Amino acid sequence: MNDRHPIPERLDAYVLEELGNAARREVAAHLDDCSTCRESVAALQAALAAYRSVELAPLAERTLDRLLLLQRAQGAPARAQRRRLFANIAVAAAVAGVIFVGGFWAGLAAQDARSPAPEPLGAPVRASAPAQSAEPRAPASFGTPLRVTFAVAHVDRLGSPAIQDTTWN
Amino acid sequence: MIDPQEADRLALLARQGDAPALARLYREFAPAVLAYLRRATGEPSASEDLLHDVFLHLMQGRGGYTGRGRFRQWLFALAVNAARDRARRLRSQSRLAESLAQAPTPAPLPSADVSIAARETVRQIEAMLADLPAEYAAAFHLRVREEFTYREMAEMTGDPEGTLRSRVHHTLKRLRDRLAVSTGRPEGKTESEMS
Repeated sequence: MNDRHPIPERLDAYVLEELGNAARREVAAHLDDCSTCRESVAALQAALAAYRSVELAPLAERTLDRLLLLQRAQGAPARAQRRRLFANIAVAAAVAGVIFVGGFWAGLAAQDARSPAPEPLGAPVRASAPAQSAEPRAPASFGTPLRVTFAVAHVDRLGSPAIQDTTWN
Repeated sequence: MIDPQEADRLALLARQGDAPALARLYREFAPAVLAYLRRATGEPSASEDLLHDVFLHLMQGRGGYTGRGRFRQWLFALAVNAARDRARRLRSQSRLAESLAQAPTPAPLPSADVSIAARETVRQIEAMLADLPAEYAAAFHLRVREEFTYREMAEMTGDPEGTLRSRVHHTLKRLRDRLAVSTGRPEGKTESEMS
């Protein structure tokens, strides 16, 4: 029999289930033999159980109502803002697309109008003469950067005599 | 009962403006948070406002919650801070004593199926807690009623674990005294020596 009473804090820790296995077994063994400590622990356990059994106060629904109203008030502008943002992005993308395609075609046309077409193998040099005399259809600054890229692709992929007869009206 | 993962999911939805998610979290957690706020502040009417603030933080995504299944702990941490901020404001305005005197905490009742003896015990516990400093009563409540560990409480409050443990055990000692519960004789004495 363990005839030394645990200190009160140890019994509290036992009640709150804070002890490790060994310490818990030790206290439990003491309680088996000591009616005083057993009663003390039982009384404390009953008191804490009663405290835990206290019913929670009913909720005031008006607090939730206020929160939901706030949520709606805050959510609506945010959603509208998001919609506006997406719309702006779509418009900007469309404008950028138009500019790109316009520039692309203008650059192509300027290339065809101002510079001799790449000479295909075996093609006569004069075959490109009419294109050189054509009026430019787009400002030079607009189509210049695109022309270089396109001209390469044009020559590589379409480097046949037929291309010289192509017009971009 | 909402499990931790579900609570995380609902918290994310509530931050994104989902009303049903917010309502579900409120109905699940608000009663316990409100009980804590009442214990920590001693002011039922102010506790409702603080509860509102706590859920407003959640709704607005403030407080830095990132999930990880600890929503309940995070929510109580918000409540701890809300109660402390209020106490600080009242202290700075020198109105704490006056406010407490004007708005005594009504003693909550145990469930209807609890015995008369248990009701009397609860009444005594309420009286004992009302005599203690708020941080002692709050620590007792978090440990006994909400069953947070000392580590979790330390994370929530910023207080050292040892301090929180000391507050809880001091409160239990007061409880034993009030209930006239004997905790046995001092350690080191044998039963034969005490007889």
